[in-house]
Amino acid sequence: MVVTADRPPTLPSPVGTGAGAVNRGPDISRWLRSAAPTATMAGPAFALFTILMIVPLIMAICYSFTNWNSLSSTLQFVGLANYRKVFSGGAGMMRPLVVTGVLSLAGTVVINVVAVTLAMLMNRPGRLYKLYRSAVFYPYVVSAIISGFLWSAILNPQGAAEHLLHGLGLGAAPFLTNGNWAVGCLVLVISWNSIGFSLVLYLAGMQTIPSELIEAGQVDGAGPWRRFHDIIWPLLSSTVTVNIVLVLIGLFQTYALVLALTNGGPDGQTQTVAYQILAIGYANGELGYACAGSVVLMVGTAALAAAVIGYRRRKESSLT
Amino acid sequence: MTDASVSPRSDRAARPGRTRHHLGSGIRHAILIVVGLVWLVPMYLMVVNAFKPQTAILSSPFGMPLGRMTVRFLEHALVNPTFNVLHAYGATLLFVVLDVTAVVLLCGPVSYVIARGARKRYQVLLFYFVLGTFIPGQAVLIPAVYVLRDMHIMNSIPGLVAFQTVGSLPVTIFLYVAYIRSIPLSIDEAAKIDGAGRLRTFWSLIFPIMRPIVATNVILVAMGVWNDFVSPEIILGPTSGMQTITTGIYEAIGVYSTQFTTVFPDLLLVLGPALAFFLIMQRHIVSGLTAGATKT
Amino acid sequence: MKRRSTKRLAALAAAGLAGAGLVGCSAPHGTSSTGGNKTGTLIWYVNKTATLTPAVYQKVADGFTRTHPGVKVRIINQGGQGTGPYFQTLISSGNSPDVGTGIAITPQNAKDFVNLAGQAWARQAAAKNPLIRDYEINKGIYSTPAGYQIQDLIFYNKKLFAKAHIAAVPTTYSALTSDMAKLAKLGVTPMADSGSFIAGSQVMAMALSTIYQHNLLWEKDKSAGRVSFAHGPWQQAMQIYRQWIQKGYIDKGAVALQYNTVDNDFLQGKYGMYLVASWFTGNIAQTPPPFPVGVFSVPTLDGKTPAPQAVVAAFNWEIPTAAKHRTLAEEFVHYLSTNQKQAIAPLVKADGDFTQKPLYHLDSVGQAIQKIASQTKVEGVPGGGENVEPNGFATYMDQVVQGLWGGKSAAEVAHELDTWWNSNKGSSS
Repeated sequence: MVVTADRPPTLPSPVGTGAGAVNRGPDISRWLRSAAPTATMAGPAFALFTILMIVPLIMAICYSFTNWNSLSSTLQFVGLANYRKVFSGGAGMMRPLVVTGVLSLAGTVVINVVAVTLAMLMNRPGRLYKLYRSAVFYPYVVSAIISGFLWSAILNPQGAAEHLLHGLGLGAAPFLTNGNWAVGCLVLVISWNSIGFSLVLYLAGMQTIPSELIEAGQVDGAGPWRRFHDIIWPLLSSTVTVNIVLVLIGLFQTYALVLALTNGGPDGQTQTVAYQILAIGYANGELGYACAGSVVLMVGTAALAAAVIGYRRRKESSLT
Repeated sequence: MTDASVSPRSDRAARPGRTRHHLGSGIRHAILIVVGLVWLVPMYLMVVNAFKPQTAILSSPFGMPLGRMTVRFLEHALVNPTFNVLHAYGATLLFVVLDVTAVVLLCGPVSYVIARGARKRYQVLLFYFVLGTFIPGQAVLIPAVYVLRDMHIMNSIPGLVAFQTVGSLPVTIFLYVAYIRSIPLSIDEAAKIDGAGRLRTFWSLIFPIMRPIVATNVILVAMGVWNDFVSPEIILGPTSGMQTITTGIYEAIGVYSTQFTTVFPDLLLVLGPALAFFLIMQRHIVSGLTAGATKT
Repeated sequence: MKRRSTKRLAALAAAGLAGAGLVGCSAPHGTSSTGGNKTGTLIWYVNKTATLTPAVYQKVADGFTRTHPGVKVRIINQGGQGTGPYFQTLISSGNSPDVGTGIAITPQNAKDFVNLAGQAWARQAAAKNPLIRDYEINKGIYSTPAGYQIQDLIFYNKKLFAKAHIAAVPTTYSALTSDMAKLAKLGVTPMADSGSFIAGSQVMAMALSTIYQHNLLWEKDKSAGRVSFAHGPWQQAMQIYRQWIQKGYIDKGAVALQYNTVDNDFLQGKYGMYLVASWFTGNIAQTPPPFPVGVFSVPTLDGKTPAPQAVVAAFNWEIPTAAKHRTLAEEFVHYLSTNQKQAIAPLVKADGDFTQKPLYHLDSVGQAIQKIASQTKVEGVPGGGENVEPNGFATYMDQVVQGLWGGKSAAEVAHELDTWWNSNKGSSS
């Protein structure tokens, strides 16, 4: 399929872009409609998805209104008590909710801004540029739990980072010993891990933009910023949208990194909602409370993602 | 948006433009070298400190005191009874292969049905699956454990494969459906005229055309499984006797995360092979990831 | 994680240690009953530490499997979490071990564990061992402690004390603080501390050593609302603790350190003192330091001596009702609780714990601890297993005490503890 100048390169969008609305004859329709092959072709995926995602989801919603502790046969309906606890401070999830939100939003912004900037800088042919790209992309194979342990060793009061500061003549910084600094470190490590993937995506997107368009902008005297803002950014639109949403959704589930980097500390100040659900809810046998947290997490994720998609859709449509 | 027409201008003299471009290129490389080095520093620290005793690590983490370097901590990490690195690699690779296979086998046909389906119900089915994108794994993990127990596959390979596969279904189906929709119906029509059933049409005609998006999808799923910690930790669990790279390293380091003579060698052991693989395969990984991202 | 259930039994150990005629644990376990027809793989969840290595536990398990053909024991342990929380996580996630340790059994969660009171051997063991009796809940036996630790101790580096011209061990907090100042002048961090569970344990020791002078039922009173963390010994102890942090007598970066790093650092002479329970003698025996180690009791807030000593059970083995091999588990616990030679002695020796009758030769530090314990008051403990904190308290306290580094005042932290306890007492988990 040929890419023409007026057809923006995108990650494929299956919903109503007109790509699928091709003329179908009556023969094809009937053939496509026949039931038996549909059942065998769609059945397994549908069944597995329902059993292991939808059914547990419904269970989670139901159990969130009980005092389920996985063992006790005295399961009781407790109304909104778990949700009240979720939204309370102290031993509740109030601060974790804030931390999760801040982490996700800040992380998404940092990752995408830096990735796009680096993509602009690296969008040149040549082996040297591929080397730079590799240098930034390799953390993709470093799992969050490994990353957490590695950076915990680096940012520890006895670690390399403090040494560096000392060597530069600066005082010690409370990387992991101050609550807010520690959240910042989380964003830093997440960015180190994830920018590479977004970078590769944006590079690919940029490389499908016909160079005539960019050169034309150069000829017209547009500087790098204008070229980016007026030509490249709009054509990257749907790639950006999908990437932002997926990154955001992923960040909402941050758990393993927190476990390895700070274990929720200091003073529980880097706990995320997922950490509360898994490391606190499970560890105290308070599964009803954990389910309530899960429901809140899901609603928050869906709402924020929908908001981002809606906003970006409006932006995209205003550009085309 | 600026006019795309080309018009020669007198200030676009060759020499000033070339000089400008060259200076820009120098700064560009300088910035990118710094960026690259910053990104690589953690690896340098990990490798260098895996061979130093605790006192050397504490007194000079960036240094390479050749006289005091030793492999004894690395050896210790290799024979750690808590963490058999080789087995963990094997187990993780097994799950990668099984999950990727399961995902492709399950999602291919259903995506084809959805993509070619004209009726409203197929849109609903797509929406049903895409809904899964917003459902965090941790949210359903707790009850899913009890579902798996009722199915008698908890703490087992099939159980973990099933759960991880389901996690990958939404994004996979999303990508496959979009891609299939861009494949001309003439191919299906030709198959139908030849008397092929839909399943056969899909696998023998459509699927080969889907290679770019399947490549992207395979890499996404493989990396997701490779890096997954929570699912194997809870579903496989210590009682299964099986560790993945992630659960194994968590158990090996555990409460010893400030014992640097444990941390760095263990990390090196775990990351070394993965990074080597990455270095060799990265061209394919990158092209695979981007193959499906752009319609070429 | 080193800290056991914090059910504290003041000075019972003293009676035992003083050898005042208490009969020791039951006679060494003979051969098991007819080898049993139970087979399968038993999952044994243990507390792994630097001294309690997998090898030590393996030998204990081998002693059981030798006499039970067809039985295998798989040993699992906590990863990066506390012993109790991870045990609970395993149970909650459907991965329940058969035999485990670390969960504080309360009247609320007792129904989730197997009651051994129906077993003759358990009743006999309880009759002989007051420690087992004191962990009973409503006359049910849900855990079988073997061995105990003394909690409120401060180990010190005798060499550094001499260098700092500290002539005698302090018995009041003002003396202790001024001794810290002297050590600080030497350029040494006076008090060793770390995140994980140590900071919380230290504060707990400082408060309870005062409280237990006159109120052994503090936990019960707290749940009944008669006492609180605020305005009492807890808050006072935290105020002193906070001052130590601000003065630099406790490392400002301590919360980011793991306890095993600080264990090693103390043994290398980096700290003047270490407020930690008696299990540390196991570490001292394993890695003898290049200086003599002394030990003294944590002072009381009012300076009264001798300070009461608290005792915490080590190795209390529990069987969740969710265990797959219940009968096998009961036999295994029978072995673990009564076989002194193969099951109890190796573990208490490695961990540096005490038993009613000494099962290994105590070194100088162990003997010093024994002396401290024998000098304290001897009291029975009413209330039994009902006099405990809500499950999860230890983890929560470990967390909020870290706020003292982050600028929170002692009053604020005390308030948080009060709020948590009040909303969790009598909770079902």
